[in-house]
Amino acid sequence: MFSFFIFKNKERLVFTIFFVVSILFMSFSTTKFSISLKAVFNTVVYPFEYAVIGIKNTVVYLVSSFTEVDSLRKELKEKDKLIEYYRGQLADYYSIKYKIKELEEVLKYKSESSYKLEISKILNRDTEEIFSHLIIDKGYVDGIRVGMPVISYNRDEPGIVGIVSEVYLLTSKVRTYKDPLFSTGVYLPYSRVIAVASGMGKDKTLLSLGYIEKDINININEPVLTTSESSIFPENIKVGYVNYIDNTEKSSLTYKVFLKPHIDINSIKNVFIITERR
Amino acid sequence: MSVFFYRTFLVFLSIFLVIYLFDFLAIKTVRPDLVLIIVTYIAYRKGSFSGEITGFFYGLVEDFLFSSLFGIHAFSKFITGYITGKFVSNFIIDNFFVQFFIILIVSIINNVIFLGAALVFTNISFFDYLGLLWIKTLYTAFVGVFLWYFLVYFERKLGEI
Repeated sequence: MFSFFIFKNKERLVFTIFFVVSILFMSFSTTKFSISLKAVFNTVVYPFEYAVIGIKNTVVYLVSSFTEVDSLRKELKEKDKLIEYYRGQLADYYSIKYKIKELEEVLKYKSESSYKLEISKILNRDTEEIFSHLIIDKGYVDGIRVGMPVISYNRDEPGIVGIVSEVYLLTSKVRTYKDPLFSTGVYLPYSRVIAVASGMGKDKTLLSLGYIEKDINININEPVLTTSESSIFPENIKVGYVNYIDNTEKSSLTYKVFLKPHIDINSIKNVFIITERR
Repeated sequence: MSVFFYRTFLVFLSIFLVIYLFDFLAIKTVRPDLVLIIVTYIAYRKGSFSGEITGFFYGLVEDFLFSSLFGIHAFSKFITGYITGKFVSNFIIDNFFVQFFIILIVSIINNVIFLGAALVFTNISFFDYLGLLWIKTLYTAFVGVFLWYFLVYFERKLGEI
């Protein structure tokens, strides 16, 4: 009878129970019991929650990464273009900087020099006899004449390059110190000896000083300068340094001295022609 | 049995959806009440007894997860489930407008009960809360229409209908 009553009125009974229970829950909402019940529930739910958050974040990252790939690619292309542009700018900057430095040096040498100098650019180097002749961009119209000395600078010190051997209207040919026909009077200030320095020709990087008496003591690395007795070069222009003394011929009364030139013709771009001695 | 697990899964899924994935659907921090839609659907299909039991326990889960007044969701949902099962199960819901209207009415009932309980047990501002509840009611009704079709579809797949 009782169970039949319950079965018949189960909806109302459950309704009443739920009503009372939920009212009780709300009434004691802030009590320790409900809070701890919540904590227990949260502890149980936490792993699932963690998993769901993980999946959600993965999906979000995945979706956003797909959408970001295109924009990143575009950005990368733009950056590449920008880098290319800046590389060009940097190259221009270094080139201009180098030119400015070069011009500053040229101006400095020109203003400080005690000779009247004509600056000239090397247009060509003799391909048959490498470096024994140079073609420069100054000629007759610029006041260049045959026999004028040609110098350059190394570490702010002037050194000989050669002499003008041929002059054309707009260009000239310079015979460098490497040419065997080149020779000039030189002076060794420490040994106090005057000699003649000559070119040694093709494939030789040194100059030679011939026939120096053996009783003269010459030191290695001693500087060699032009002498006032030379009709070509003004005095005290550096020719080079003593590099090697050939003392192999025991029977001879003289020996040969080899010089390492002060100016390396391979590395210069400009030369200075001494047009007038002040 | 499979339907029981399916419905349990639905509730947990909807709660997690509401918590974690529906931020981008939120209007003024209000999200659609997916649990209410599921309770309404079950009450409509199975009657008032199933409706009140489903509403109570699903509401309790919501309370556990995000309610400052413990029991308020269980309270509002079980009464809503009971009323829905009692009265709405007599209708034949076969078109869009009826669905929208029914879910809207159910949502209003749920929110009125919710607001009433909240006013009794807390000291919330009635008018501030009323504004948000209107948005929630309309939003739930709108989303509910679409969700209803999905629920029908999946239950057909499980062979319940």
